[in-house]
Amino acid sequence: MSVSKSISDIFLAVPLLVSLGLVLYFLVVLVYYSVPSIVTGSLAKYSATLPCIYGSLLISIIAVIIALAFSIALTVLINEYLPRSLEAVVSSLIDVLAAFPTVIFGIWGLRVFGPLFRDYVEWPLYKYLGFLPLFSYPPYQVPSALLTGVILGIMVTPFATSVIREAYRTVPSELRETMLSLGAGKWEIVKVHLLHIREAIIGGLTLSFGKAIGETAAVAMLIGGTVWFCPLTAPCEAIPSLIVRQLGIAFITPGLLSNLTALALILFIIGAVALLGIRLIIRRAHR
Amino acid sequence: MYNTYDITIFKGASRVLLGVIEDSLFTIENLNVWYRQKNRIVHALKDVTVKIPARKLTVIIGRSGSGKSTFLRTLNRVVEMYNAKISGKILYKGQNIFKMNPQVLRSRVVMVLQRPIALPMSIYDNIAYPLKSIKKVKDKREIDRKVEEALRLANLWNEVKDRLHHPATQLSGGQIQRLAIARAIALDPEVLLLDEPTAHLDPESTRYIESTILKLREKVDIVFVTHSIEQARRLAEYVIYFEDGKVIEEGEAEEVLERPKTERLRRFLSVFEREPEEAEVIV
Ligand SMILES: Nc1ncnc2c1ncn2[C@@H]1O[C@H](COP(=O)(O)OP(=O)(O)OP(=O)(O)O)[C@@H](O)[C@H]1O
Ligand SMILES: [Mg+2]
Repeated sequence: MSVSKSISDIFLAVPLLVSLGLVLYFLVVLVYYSVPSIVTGSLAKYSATLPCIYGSLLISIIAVIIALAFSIALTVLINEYLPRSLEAVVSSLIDVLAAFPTVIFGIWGLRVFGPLFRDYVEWPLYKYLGFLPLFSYPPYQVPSALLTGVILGIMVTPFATSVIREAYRTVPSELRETMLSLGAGKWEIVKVHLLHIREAIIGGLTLSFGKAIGETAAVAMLIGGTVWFCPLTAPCEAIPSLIVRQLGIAFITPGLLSNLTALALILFIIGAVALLGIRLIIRRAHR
Repeated sequence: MYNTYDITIFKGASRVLLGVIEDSLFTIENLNVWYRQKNRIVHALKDVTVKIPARKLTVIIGRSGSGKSTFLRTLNRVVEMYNAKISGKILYKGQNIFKMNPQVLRSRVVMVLQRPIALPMSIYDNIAYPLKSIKKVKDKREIDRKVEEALRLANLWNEVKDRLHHPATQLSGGQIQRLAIARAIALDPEVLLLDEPTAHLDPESTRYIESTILKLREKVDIVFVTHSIEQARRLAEYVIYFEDGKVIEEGEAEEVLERPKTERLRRFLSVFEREPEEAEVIV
């Protein structure tokens, strides 16, 4: 009895151990190849280190905000306002969006969305909020941190939406019936539903952050590639795009490859810390 | 026994004009309700014609699946959220409910569900949030007062007064039931529809809720569903018996419960007369 139980315990633990092992394996690889850069202090001296960490965080945070706003709005729209027949249309649109190669978003952002965004959003921001450091750069060019964050946000919206929508759909009908039976209107009902699925919303947030901070191709196309502590309206640089851009000279520049590996390690750690931090927030909220 | 209403001349006149209608809270005529599901249709209420009198505690009895909950849900039009098809007429105080704004109707005719749930917020907010957002009560002290009063009436105050700001989802089933009753009471509705409000409660809480119901009926019209004939005997002034989606018998409680006219109701009531042992053997 107890033997069979412990055997079944082992079988339950296997998937967990395998995925943990995989994470550890990649961690070890990254650490191994970044050791030279870290111990010699080359990473600390590398001028791109801090600005690119900053850039990556900046665009990912914008992306998460955009993705959360869009996915919650889409969820409410689909579940509360659209007739069943349109629901299927919108759902398949969202699915298609998720399947697009990300370079398409890059091209679209540069050629179509970017110029409009610069003229109608970034310029007014600069004009009216230019006294703030974040908007202090005149957006003459299309690539910018803000544009990159917004397009990233659109790109990860389908993933956040699928998590949040699924949760919204499975809220017990008694919640709606309770609210209706008290005389509640649509807005109160929506609010209570969103409260009910707040964990899924945080899950969607985690997922979007993870996807946004790791995205490479679209970011490399849209961000501009300028390494500095950029204002939102200026071209900027992020870790993954820096890595692909610098590979061209990394093989002939001593120590650079190791620096870039160390930056990849940092990206990995930021993702993990964000994930754990959010788990902690959930724990805290439960108490 | 009856409330004394301040009868203005106008009200007096309208009462004379409306005559019979004034004395009935709900007038239901030829009501049919179908639940439309993907591949089948459930005919839940069949040609129901019945009156629910005003200022009388009305109790609805009947077997499981006989349409009692559906009937309550139709009175406040919540049934519409279940993709239901409805035909027939329902007047609430003389007004056609299907021509009323459903939200207005529901804030006057408040229902406590058979499977009550806690809203995903604190115990306090479970009562305060509907007050604030639906009843538009703004004053904090007024809200505090109502929360306490409602929790006391539902016999929950003593258990939760030290943890009002903890999540309500941590409460037990019986506590959530009482919380749901408190939530409804706090809204000061004209009518309270209670769907088996004591189903998850122990005898003590049941008695307490019953005394609250008796207290409330001075101000509020109450319609409630119960499985317990004993409870119906203790509380009911008017009884409606449902079977298979139809109203089989209705009338003054004593008449219906003690001298049933139909064979079907007699059979239903006789189940409760048997000795417990015998009933167990049958099960
Ligand atoms: N949401 C729904 N969708 C489809 N059918 C339903 C729904 N709710 C109830 N029904 C069906 O309608 C009929 C009446 O159900 P109802 O819940 O009104 O019975 P009830 O008398 O309240 O039963 P109980 O005493 O078990 O609560 C049943 O056949 C039930 O299966
Ligand atoms: Mg029922």
